[in-house]
Amino acid sequence: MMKRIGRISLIIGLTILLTSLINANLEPSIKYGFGYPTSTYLIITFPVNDVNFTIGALPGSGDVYKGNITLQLLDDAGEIITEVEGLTPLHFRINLYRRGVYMIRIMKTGNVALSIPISIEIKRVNIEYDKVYAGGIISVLSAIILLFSHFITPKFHKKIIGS
Amino acid sequence: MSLFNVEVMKAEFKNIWSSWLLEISIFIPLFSCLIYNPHLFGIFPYEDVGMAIQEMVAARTISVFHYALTFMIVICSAVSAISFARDYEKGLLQTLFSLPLSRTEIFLSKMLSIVLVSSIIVSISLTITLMLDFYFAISYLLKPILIGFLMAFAPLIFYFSLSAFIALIIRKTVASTVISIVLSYVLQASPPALSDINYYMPDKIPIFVLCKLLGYRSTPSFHSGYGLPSTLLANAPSIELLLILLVIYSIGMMAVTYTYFTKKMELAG
Repeated sequence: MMKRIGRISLIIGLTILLTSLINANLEPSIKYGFGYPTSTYLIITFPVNDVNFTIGALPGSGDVYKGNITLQLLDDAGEIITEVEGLTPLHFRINLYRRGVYMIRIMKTGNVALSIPISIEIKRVNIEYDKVYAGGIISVLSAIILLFSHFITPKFHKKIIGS
Repeated sequence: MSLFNVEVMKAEFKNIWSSWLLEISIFIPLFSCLIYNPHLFGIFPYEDVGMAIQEMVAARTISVFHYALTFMIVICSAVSAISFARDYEKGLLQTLFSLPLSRTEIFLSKMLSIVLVSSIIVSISLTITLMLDFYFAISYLLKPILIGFLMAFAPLIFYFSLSAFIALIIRKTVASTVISIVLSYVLQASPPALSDINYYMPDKIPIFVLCKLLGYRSTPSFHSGYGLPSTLLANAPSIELLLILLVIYSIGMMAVTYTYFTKKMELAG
């Protein structure tokens, strides 16, 4: 029973580890343009580095909204991660190493159109380390279970039977 | 008369548990779910962050469920064919028939144990993949995992019955297993991706039902991965029609195999 559980969890751990390593270097960059109201949620389900925001311009559209804006990037607890202020088109970049929910809040302080276009370029990290850690921990734990069931349990059984 | 026999189910669980097929059954669906790793990020102009997370989780669930179910159907078909054909070849089926057990009990116990294990494996794949991607929103994962577990039952019953029927007709382990695997794969892969035929395929219906139950809306505001084209998901028929079709398919195929097994099957042949 222990051997079987150990072997199955070892397969699960190694599969997580293997797929994380295979997926490394997979299409590392994505570019998107959005037209959105002044407050919006950004949900990221993979760790990223180098998120490149451009506020007030959509790539290729030629439309640029002029005005002074303040942009805040908040985490799910409502804490401000960064705040930038300036005239559109406004550029800024940040590293977000944690999967999660982020909130973009834009405050208009000048004559800016109601819906402000946002262009985001996201660069994925090459290796999703959190998945590698998860796969590694599961694999090590199941290897311990397997070793335990191979060496310790039979000795224990012998001892009981012998006594 | 009872419908299930605990001892037959125990024996079937023991067979599955001790077979190397269990490792393969866990590895293939999980690998297919994890290797398909789309760019999962989205921008949502909602007031409520919960709605945004739900939409992301729904999109990921649909794609993961599709992959897990596709491979699990093939494995379930193989296990069903092996279970019936090997039992016949070893003479175990003949022994079971000589015991004070009804054929209904034998058939339904075998079906429940194989389909239950297969559904659990689909849920395990779904749980691991969703938890790795959305560990920051664990509370949103219970509903999709539970619905996924329940939705896997009907197509697995259909393919179990189909493979069991093939195994009972052919009565040779290797031949019936190969035919079941090929047939289950061909049936799933045959309709073109954008065709409306997908709405009437027993293995695709649960995905459309899941899509509707999780409130997935095909909005262009975020980028994610889908097992099926998003236009097809958006134009799916009503949930009632889909559920009725699903019940007809699974119960219909089960009735055919059950009738053959209980009424027509001759052991001497």
